[in-house]
Amino acid sequence: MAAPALARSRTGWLAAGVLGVATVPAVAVATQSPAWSMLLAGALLLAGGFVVMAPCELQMAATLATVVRRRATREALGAGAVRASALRFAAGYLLFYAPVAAALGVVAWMLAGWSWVLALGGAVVAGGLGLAALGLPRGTRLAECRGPLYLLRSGRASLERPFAAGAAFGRYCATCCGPYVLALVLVAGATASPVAGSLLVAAYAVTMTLPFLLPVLLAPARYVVLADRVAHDGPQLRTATGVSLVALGVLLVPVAVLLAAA
Amino acid sequence: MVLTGLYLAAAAHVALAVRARRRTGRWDRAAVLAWWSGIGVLAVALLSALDGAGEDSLPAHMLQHVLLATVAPPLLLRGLPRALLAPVTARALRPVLRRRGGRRVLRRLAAPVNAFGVWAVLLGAWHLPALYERGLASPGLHVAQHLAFLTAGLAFWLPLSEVVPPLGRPFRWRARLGYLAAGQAVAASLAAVFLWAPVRVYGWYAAAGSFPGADPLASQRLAGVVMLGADMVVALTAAVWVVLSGLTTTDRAGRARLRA
Repeated sequence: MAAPALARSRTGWLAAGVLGVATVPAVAVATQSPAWSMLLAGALLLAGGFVVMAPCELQMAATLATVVRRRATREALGAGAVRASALRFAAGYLLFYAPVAAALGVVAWMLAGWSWVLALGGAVVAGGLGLAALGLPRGTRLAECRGPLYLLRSGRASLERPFAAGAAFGRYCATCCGPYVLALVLVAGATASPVAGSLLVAAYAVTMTLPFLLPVLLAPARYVVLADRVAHDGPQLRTATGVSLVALGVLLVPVAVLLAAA
Repeated sequence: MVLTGLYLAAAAHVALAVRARRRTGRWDRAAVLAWWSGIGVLAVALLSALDGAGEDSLPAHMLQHVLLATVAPPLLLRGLPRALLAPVTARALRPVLRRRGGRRVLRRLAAPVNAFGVWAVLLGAWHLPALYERGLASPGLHVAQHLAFLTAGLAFWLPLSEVVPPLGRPFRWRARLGYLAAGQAVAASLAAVFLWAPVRVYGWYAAAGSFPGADPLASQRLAGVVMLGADMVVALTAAVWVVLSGLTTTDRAGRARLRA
């Protein structure tokens, strides 16, 4: 059902193009000079990092804006309380997400030479979630997991408890950016540098939290404007997330090839 | 020389801010805060112990470059909103804008693709081992390297700032996000070289003793983490700002249309 729809869509052609362009040099490097395969795998992952992370970041900003807005409207909160809500949201997100990243690192370390299988698994998960976000396999349960509006409507991101809302977003995000972090951990692990691996994961967690936290801390009034547009621009954000996840799934295929060669 | 430059920059901004306050009757606190933060970042990069440490340690030198090229420029440009700079830009640019050719030249100079090119070329060229190590060996070239990184950063962030009035097609927020993504692709690829290259990129640090207690490859990876972390945080923060500003502008335009 999904394959013909994907073939008709621009996303399908884009994904095939990226797969072709990225896999050819990956195979060439993996076979000719395996010592450099980690550099290419890392460069592929990091070069696409912004495209993977930006839609997730914007969804997080949209969720936080809605949480903050509804609290501010109901309880007539001042800027200080808005900032406190944002900090609790970020704490919930970080506390949920940090052990997930660590668990991925442990699994990668245990699999050692077979870590490329994990990267391929990550590619399948990312691609499947991306297609679900694009609504291509219609009628599946995955279609429900489509971002912040789902979290808010289902009550998982409770407006009364920003900390729990942050943790709920962490659950959503772990499936979204999880494969990306997994691949980063795998590539860092393959260079036999646990320090670089843990620093990368730490940098990733902080990188995801700071950008949505800074605007709300510096300009809470302006930030609330975003909430007004969540319902209007939500579908566009969801599509952007879907496209970026499909791209991530495609990107992880050459990364798996390079990991197998390392 | 650095201290004099920072004093002059600070004094010039105070003069502009006071003039704008007289004209509008209010302080642009965000602009003042951003400008002084930018000056502070430059002071930390160029006047603190970081400057000396950069000669023996690649991560310290990378941190210094990141402060110059990634952190300070957006702060400095945020500190120069159009309203603050209007008296200067109006006087300087009006004669050029009156001429057709002058307007065309200015439009080309301000085009995002050109700004991006300047940034990418300066960033890439100064990280080439031959040029980078020559810069470390020669004080004059080292100053030129730091100036080049600051210029590159200012060039990259200029199209995303509100310093210069739009001369060509408006740079819409979706295009701005694409611009940021392209910039990140270049910067992150460079960071990947430091993170995963199986050999030392710069031989200088082996000769200089490298980071105390760390092997040269670990130092190199740490430098990559510093570069990647700072670039990604700044770019994603900018992405949230770009979307917020874009939505606010769209909202204002929508309300104006409704009123009309």
